[in-house]
Formats: sequence, structure tokens, C-alpha cells
Amino acid sequence: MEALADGSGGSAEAQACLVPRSLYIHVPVCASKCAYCDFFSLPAASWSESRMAGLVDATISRLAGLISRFGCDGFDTVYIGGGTPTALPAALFDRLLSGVAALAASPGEWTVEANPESLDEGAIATMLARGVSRVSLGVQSLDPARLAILGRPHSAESATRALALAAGSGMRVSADLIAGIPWPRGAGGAAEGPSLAEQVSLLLDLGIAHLSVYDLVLEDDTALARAVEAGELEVPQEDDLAEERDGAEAVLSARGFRRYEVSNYAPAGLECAHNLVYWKMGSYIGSGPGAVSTLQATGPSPWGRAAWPSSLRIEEAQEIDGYAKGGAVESPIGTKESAYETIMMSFRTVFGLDKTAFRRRFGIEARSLIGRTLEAWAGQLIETRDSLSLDPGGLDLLNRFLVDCLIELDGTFPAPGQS
Amino acid sequence: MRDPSLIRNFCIIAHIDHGKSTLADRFIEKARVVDARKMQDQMLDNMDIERERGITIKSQAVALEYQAKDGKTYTLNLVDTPGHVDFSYEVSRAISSCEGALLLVDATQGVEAQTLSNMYMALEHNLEIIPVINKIDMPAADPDEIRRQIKHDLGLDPDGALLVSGRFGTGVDELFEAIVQRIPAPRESSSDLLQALIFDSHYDPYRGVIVHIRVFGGSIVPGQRIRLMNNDSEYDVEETGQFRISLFKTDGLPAGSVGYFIANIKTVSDVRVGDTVTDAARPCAAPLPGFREVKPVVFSSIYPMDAADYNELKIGIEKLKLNDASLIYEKDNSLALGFGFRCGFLGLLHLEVVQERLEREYDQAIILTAPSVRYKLKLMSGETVFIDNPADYPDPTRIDSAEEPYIKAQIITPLAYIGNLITLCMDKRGNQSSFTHLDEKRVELCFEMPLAEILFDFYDKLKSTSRGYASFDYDIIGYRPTKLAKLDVLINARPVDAFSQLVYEPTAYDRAKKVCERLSRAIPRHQFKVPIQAAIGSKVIARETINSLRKDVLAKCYGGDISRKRKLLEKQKEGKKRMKTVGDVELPQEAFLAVLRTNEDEERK
Ligand SMILES: Nc1nc2c(ncn2[C@@H]2O[C@H](COP(=O)(O)OP(=O)(O)OP(=O)(O)O)[C@@H](O)[C@H]2O)c(=O)[nH]1
Ligand code: SF4
Ligand SMILES: [Mg+2]
Repeated sequence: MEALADGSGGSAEAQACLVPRSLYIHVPVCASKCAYCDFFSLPAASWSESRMAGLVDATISRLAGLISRFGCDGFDTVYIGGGTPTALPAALFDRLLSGVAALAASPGEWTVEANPESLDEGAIATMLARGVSRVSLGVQSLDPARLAILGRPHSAESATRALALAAGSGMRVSADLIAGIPWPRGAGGAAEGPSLAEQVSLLLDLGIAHLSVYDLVLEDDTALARAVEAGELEVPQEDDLAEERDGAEAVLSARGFRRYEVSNYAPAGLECAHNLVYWKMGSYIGSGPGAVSTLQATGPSPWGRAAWPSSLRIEEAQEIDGYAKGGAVESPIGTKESAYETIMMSFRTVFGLDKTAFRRRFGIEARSLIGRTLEAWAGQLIETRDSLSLDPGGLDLLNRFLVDCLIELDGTFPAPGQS
Repeated sequence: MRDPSLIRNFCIIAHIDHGKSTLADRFIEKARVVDARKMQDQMLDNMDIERERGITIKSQAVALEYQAKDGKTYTLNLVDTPGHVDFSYEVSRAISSCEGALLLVDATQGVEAQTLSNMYMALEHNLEIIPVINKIDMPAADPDEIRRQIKHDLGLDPDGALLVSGRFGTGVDELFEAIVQRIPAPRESSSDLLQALIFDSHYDPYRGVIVHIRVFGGSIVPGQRIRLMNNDSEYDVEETGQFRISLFKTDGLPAGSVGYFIANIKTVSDVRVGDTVTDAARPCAAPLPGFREVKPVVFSSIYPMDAADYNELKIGIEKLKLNDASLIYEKDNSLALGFGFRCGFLGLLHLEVVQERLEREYDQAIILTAPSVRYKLKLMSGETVFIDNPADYPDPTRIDSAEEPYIKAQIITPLAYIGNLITLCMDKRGNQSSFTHLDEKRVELCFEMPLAEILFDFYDKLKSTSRGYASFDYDIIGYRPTKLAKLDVLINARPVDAFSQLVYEPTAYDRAKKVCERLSRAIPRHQFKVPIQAAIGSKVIARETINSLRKDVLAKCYGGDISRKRKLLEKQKEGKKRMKTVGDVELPQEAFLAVLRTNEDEERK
């Protein structure tokens, strides 16, 4: 066990952790609340311009604080998400982007999330001027009826218009779709409107370079969940949903889009570099209400006392007006939890778990921790010299695999200090 | 200690829902046993399941101080009893500790089946019965008609009946006086040697076993060394007291009184309901008669969800038994489930109550096997065996003939429903044995039918077919020939003994189909297809297949919700740990419940 580098708090932390080279900004504004959404975001109409300006400034200054605390020296990836960043008034949108650009000069990949109803020429121009390289557009569906069920604030036409605009700008374009959208009871939803596969085709024709297809999750206390509970809408059967996805996947793979993560597709090399940092459990910082930072210790960690925490998680306060005052919650993540998180995140992608990196960080072979589970899943496991990953069938059952890992870890994880 | 002439011990008995617990509330209120703001409806129904189901399950005693018109203060020990048939053992024990009973008759419902059966029980013990016409506040109340029934159906003097509204307290003052004047004081005992009957008990995590007694002779005081006569174990009394909603310490309990004692009893099984407590140094000559033996009618095995919890379950059952004398159990084991207990119950509601109490009060995750009655088999060898456990079912070639228990069901109903009720009983393999007009509106129907048929949903069906007006009671009348088969269930080609059941052969196919369907709904999808088969011997008679799981994955997981997603999976892990693994299939508790439930339950939902 090495002694911790001495010195001021900031530099001790900075030296003991993997210096974050990825940055996330959360903008909790939206045009209106979608029926399925449980993210932290508030409708733009309820905000005064000065209140929004205050939040933008607080987000930038918090970012500066995190950068200096963890000794960040440039960023490989920047991601501005939400909410809907483009829902900010044009001037504030520019203020945010220029503020970020000043603190994170020319990252390798800079993504901004946008929604069709607010992605206009002006927003595109701002993005280009500040160096944004990638736009991620929340389309969710190209079927008007489904958009209405989802309570989206835009039409199918405005989605295709926004996509064309983004594609024409030279930035890389990513889009989101939702599979398994509930449908009015007994109305035979599958037969009407463009199928998921047809929607995917349309999007690919419009020139997107990356697509996320999420199975809809009914979150408690959302309008959509209530409609399903009340029996107004019904969720598709498991087998129908699988069929819907299979159809979409066939189109994607024919067009060279690989499923590189549970819900993400891209041609090789065009994956979202920012999200890959999460899935590899790298260090990253996050600013803005509700954003999260995770700092990975490289050796004995500087956080916590009794145990050996292996990462630090900082959850920003989910507050608008009080945000500048701080109130972030910092929790050390123990070694075992951190190892589990690494397994949980890495197995989401086709790149899988990096065996060497795992051994270096935790001082133990992944196989010594989850060997029994790996045996049981051998039929769906792909092992190379450097990595362990699941095949497509295995990815679909990832929760089962992870629960098996978790149960096994309870028995195999060495007591703190033993490794 | 109060002079026995100033004590009155009485119970409130009636058909289910006739208002016993509500009337008890009025007594408690008038006698100011608790603060007015602590009063709540059906105060004595203090178990969660009693409150949820709105019925009394346990008899509950409470002592009231009442100043009568004669100027004297009396101690009235009231026992509220349950009305449901499955808990009649509770009523019978309450009766043994009392000299009198208030027999309630709902003024809108009239005399029903348990009004009669509970009255007979009270008469057998020579209790003074005060008929009470209750719920007279209701617009449909018909006191004259009820008086007529009291005379005609019950053979009691209608002039002695009191008119009461338990809800509003009307007539309760008169009832207090009637109790003092008409119910005899406890009989003087011929000797001063301690002789007390244990009629109930319960376990308190802080104080250990609390023994509920009725003192018949002598007295019991703190410091006294007492003996439990069934096994001669001896203990020093630490505390005695009365039930006043909470435990109320007294300096002793004299002959004639009802109360509790605590004596640091470590060995829970030393305490037997029905046993006699006496003084260790000066014991009484003989124990009191005790209670009639309980005769369970339905049997099922209870296993811990996690085989490692067997010992905890054992402790839980022992403690529950303290407070539920009608529960019978012995050790059992199963290939699929490990060690557990074979239990006998007084009915299916009793079984459910035991299951829920074990889960709630003793925090046990348990599995119950399909309930069964006790069959009588004549073997080729000439030997006769009784079996209630499918695991004990002999090879069919060794069986000469089978018999099953029959009951005589006695149904009291308004005329309008007899057609439907007869159809119902015939469906349940019943044979009508008599039909009596009680008066121009009501009839009494008697049917002989298999016990197995009435155990399950009969009661609910009877109520729904008669809009709640028909009531029923039954007696076991003996064994009759039957055709029996053992139905086995195979999950993924492997027989699971806990799902096996003994069935009436002509309906085996229907049962098999239902069981397979239900299991296929209760068992979650696996990574592979899971066939479910029901078989008699080697012949599969029904089959379902659970398709393999297509997807179980969190659609989204990014940097912002790693902690939340980790916790979600930890929850899923806990869920998986609560599954019973049989072969390579994981069975949730619901799968076992699915087999417990019987044919029609489903459609009620
Ligand atoms: N109107 C009216 N309703 C009453 C009266 N007494 C009881 N009830 C109602 O009748 C129902 C049953 O009352 P309980 O006191 O629980 O009956 P019980 O006899 O204790 O029932 P079990 O213990 O389950 O046999 C409840 O809904 C009471 O509110 C009464 O005097 N008048
Ligand atoms: S746009 Fe996105 S964040 Fe905003 S309400 Fe809709 S789903 Fe939620
Ligand atoms: Mg009651």
C-alpha cells in the first residue's frame, strides 16, 4: 500500500485518480414534459430569461471548479445533454456553448443534444461556430400517432426537417428512436403507421451516422404509465417487441450499422466516443443540475476512511435556483461496488470488459471473481486475449448475466485490503 | 383481589359479521378501558389480517370495571370470539372459561348456521345464554321476526332478548345490568389449591411466553412456584394481570378470574393450551378436563423458501402455535424443498391465516404445498392406511379401494336461492339428504358431500349464489368410497413433489389443465423453454410450455445513472434469491400459491 501523495486536498485527489478527460453538461430545460419522461427537466415556458441565465452561468462556474479540483488538462469528449439544450433561448445557448468552449478547448468529439422543435438554422450556426462536431436528435418516432402517445412536442415532419438540416451542416448526426410504444387497447397498433424498420430506413436515408433504439421503459408516476395502468393503452407483448426490433436490426445491419451497445448502433469507428467512456468506466465530470461525475482511483484511493473506496461519485443537486450554492452529494464507491459497476457497464458493449485494465485497477482477475458465471454463460460469451464480452443473444439477457455476477461476487470478492 | 361474587365471565358469540367486535367496542368505551382518543372500530381485532379482512380470527379477552345499579363494582371479563367456521376452536375455548354468553343475532339477517352451532356449544358447557338482537338501528331490522326465530329456531325465551345497536350503543346499559344479574358468578371452588386452565397464550419478544388462564380454584400470585401439569415443568411466577387491551399488572388472580401470568418460560413447548396450572408445593389432585382435541381437516406442508432457514421456521411455528392452538404440525421432508412441516388446519382460511402470520409476525419466507384432505386406503394386503400427503401415496397396484371424508352440510337460506344452491351442491358431488321449511321464507337444506369439495371455494360460491343470505355449517360424517389418483407435476421434465396432489379421478384432467396453465403464468421465463406437464403415473395428461426469455436488459445506462442501475440489479438479485431452484428452473413463491389456489378462485378476480 503506497502512501497517499501529500499536499492540498485538490492535488491529492487529482494525483490519485484517473484524470477525467470527458465532460458532461446537463441542461434541465425542455419545451414541455413528454408523457414517458422521468428525467430532471422543467418546461421552458415556466422560466424567466434571467433565471435561465443564472443557471447557465452557475453551470459554467461549477464546471471550472471541477476542472481545477481534479486537475483536468483538456478533454477528449464533451457532451451537452438534457433536457433539451436547444430549448434555451438562442443567446443563452451561445453563452453556454462559448463558456464550455473556453474551458474545454477543441475536444475530439463534442456532442449536443437537440430536439426537432428547437433545432433551427440559428442553433446549427451557433454549434458550428463553437466547434460542436456531433448532434444527437431526439426523434423517438416518425409515426404521428406514436409521437402523440409519447406526448412529444414535435411532428414527424419537423423531425425529418431537423434531421436534414443537421445532416447538411457537416456535423455527424445521431438520432434516437423508441421501440415498444404502448398503443390504445385493442387497436392493433402494429398494423398502423410506419414500422420501426421503416422508420430506421427513413432515418438512414437522411444521412444519420449513429442510431439509438431504446425499448420503452414505463417509469412510475409518468403520464404514460398512468394511461397503461388505467387500461387506456397496452404495452406490446414480449414476442411482438422482439419482432419489431429484429426488423429494425435487419435494416441496420444491411446498412453497415453494428449493434455496438445494448441500444446503440453505428458503423465501426463512428461509435459515440463520449458514451464509450461511461461504458469503460473511465473518469468523467458532470456539471449542471442532476449531472454526475465519477472519478476512478488508480491505486489506493483518497476517498473514505474505513474501507477502500475505489471511486468517487458526485451527484449535482437537482435544483435550479439553488444550484450555484452547491449541495452536490459526494459518495465514495467501495472497491466491490466499483468492480461490479465496471462489469455492469463494460458488458453493455461488444468491446466488453478489458481484462488487463480490470486486473490493473482491482488487482484481481475478472475470472477469479465471476468465473462460475462465465462458465454458465459460456455459450453466449466471446473471449479474446484482452476482452470478455457477450454475443447479441447474451446482450439481450444482460440483466440475468449481471445478477449472476452479483450473486457470485458476494462470495468471491476478497475483503478490503486483501488484494 | 376481588371477591368472586363480583366477577362475571362471559363471551360474545354469533354467526360471522353479526356485530360481536363492534359491541365489544361499546363495552370497552363505556367502561373506559382506554382513552377515548385511542378508540378505534373493532378495537379487539388487533392483528393486521383481522383488520384487512374485517373479521375476527382470535378470541380476545378484556376485563371491564363496571359499577352496577346495586352500587357494587364488578369485574366483567368479556371474550370476543370469531364467527367464521374455521375458527370455531377459538369459540369453544372461550366458552370453557366463561359462565355466560351473549348470543348475538343480526336483526336484519336472523338466525344463521353458526348462530345455531355456537349456541349448542355454549349449551353443552351449561353457559347462561342471553340472546341479543343486534343492529336494531338498521332500517331493515325486524325485531319481531328475530324474536320469533329465537323462540322457534333456538328454543330460547324471546322475552329475555335485549334490543341493542352495537354501532350506536343503544341498549348497552341494559345489557350491562343483564350481565350482572343473569350471568352467574364463578362457582365457589371446593378447595383452595391452585387450579387454572390455560386457554390461550402468546409470545412476546421481550417478556417471553404470556400464558392466558382462567383460575378455577385457589389463586395465583407473583413469586409463587407453579407446575404445568402436562409435563411437570415448574416455573416461578413473575407477574400476573388482567387483559385491559394492554397487559394490566395485578397483585394476583383469585379463583373465578381470567387473566395472564408471566414466568420466564424459556421452553415454548412446555406451554400447552388446555393444560392445568397448579401450585408446585401444594398441587391440586387432578388436572381440569381441558379441551376437546382439534381435528384438522385439511393438510399441507410448509417449507422455508431457503432450505437453510429450517430452524428459524421451526422456532416461528412453535411460537405461532402458542397463539394458535388449532395448528397441528410435524416434521416433513421433500426431495425438491428439503425439510419442512406437515401441518393440519381447520380449513383453508385457517391455512391462509397461518401462512400470513408466519410471514408477517415471524418474518418467514415460506412455501405451502397443495392442500389435501385425509384419505383412507384399503391395500391389497388387507391393511388400511390413512394418507393426507401425496408423497405417501402407494403404488396404485397395491391399492384395493379408496375412501374420502364426507360431511353433512347444513345450509339455511331464504327460499329464493334454493335452486341455485342445489345446483351448486350437486356440482360439488353432493347428495341431498333433507329439506326442511323453517318458516314460510326460510329453508334448511342438508347435503352429504365430500369434504374435499367444500374446503376450497364452496363458502365464497355459497355467498355469491345467495347474495350473502345463505349460511352453512358442517359436520364430518365419515368415509365414503371414491376414485383417487395422484397427479404429479413435472417442470422441465423433472417431477416436483411439492406440486403433487391427490385428486378425484374423474376430474383429474380438468385439474391438471388448470394447474399447468396457472404454473405457466406464475413461473417467469427462463433462458430456455420450460415445459410443464401434469401426469398420472407415467401418462402425461396436460402440458404447457413457457417460452424462453427474449430480453432482460436495461435499455439505457449512461454516466448519470450508474448508481441507480446498480441498485436496480441488486434488487433483482434479491428477487432471484427468493426463488426456489428446482433442477435448473427457478420457481417463485407465486408458483406454489398457484397450486394452492383451486379451480374457481381465478374467475373471481
Ligand atoms: N348498522 C349497524 N352495523 C353494525 C352494528 N354492529 C356491527 N355492525 C357492522 O357489521 C359489520 C360486522 O361487524 P363486526 O363487529 O366486525 O362483526 P363480528 O361479529 O365481530 O364479525 P366476526 O368477528 O368476523 O365474526 C361491520 O361492518 C360493522 O360496522 C350495528 O349495531 N349497527
Ligand atoms: S425532451 Fe427528453 S428530457 Fe425533455 S421531457 Fe421529453 S423526454 Fe424528457
Ligand atoms: Mg369480530
